[in-house]
Amino acid sequence: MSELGLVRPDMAAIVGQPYGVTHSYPVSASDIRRWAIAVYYPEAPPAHYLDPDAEAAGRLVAPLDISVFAWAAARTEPDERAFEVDAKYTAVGAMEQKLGVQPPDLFRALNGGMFVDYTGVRIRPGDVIRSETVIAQYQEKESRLGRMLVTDFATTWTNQAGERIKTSTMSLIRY
Amino acid sequence: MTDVTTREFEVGATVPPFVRQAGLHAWNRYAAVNYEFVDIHMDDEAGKAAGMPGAFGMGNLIWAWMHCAVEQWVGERGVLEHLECRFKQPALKGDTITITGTVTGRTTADDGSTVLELELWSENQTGTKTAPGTARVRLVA
Repeated sequence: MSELGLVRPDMAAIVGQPYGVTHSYPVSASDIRRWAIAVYYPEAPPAHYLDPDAEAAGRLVAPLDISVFAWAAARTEPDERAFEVDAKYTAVGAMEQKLGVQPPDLFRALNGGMFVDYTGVRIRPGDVIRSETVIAQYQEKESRLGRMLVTDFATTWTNQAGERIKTSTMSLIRY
Repeated sequence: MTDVTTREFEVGATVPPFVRQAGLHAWNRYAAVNYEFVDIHMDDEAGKAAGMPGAFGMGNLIWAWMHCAVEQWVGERGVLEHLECRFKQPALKGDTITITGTVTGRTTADDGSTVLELELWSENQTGTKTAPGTARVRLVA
């Protein structure tokens, strides 16, 4: 058991194990243009997003922050060890059950922030993106709200060539 | 080629402000691309039930605007390698949200490229930093 008693040995054992493997539909030029137009509204996005010749010339790349899974995924691989937990766990973002482990009994949550590392590999029309998530780490903290468990969920996207595009990490604070 | 001697990339330089009006016109467009049709971003009563004065904006849209601010500034002269932020206060209808920042560090990487460290944040019209963050940009030599 960890120092503050929030990270059980079975929780520690699932750190770094992938879950939630999902594959996107092929990204379209229209997906890219619409995202850029939406986030730059009411001004026009940078000209290359709207250049009608950019796609054919291979110059059309997606905004870095695009979500290619927002509306639908083409395929989601089953998490073989997953089991159902009470909604009070999923309501605070628990994911341990997807890896076959009972989530901790912490039922309040805060978004502790997010960070992303981009590799420089860009998303282009026709790309099929694979996403997988791991619990990157658990950290325990004492605060005025009591014992807190900080869980970093790291999601990595790769393209059809196996090139890593980004790893984005969300810190979930449960207490 | 990037003229990395340009003053706009010196330590202390300002990331040009990227200014947007928070409200349903922006939120609905973002919801439509990100499938983010959540009551708190659409309905004042839902926002009030969540303890806010009314409907409020998505943290993801602030995140997107931070990307836009860097992209508009750097363009093809560099690439964003790292971004992080904490969402401290959501945007409310009518808020004027400004994404801006400061170059806090500048180093030369092993490959000779110039790497900028930034403080980058979202602030509202009162000057309150609603989403403080940091970023790293590599200039393309």
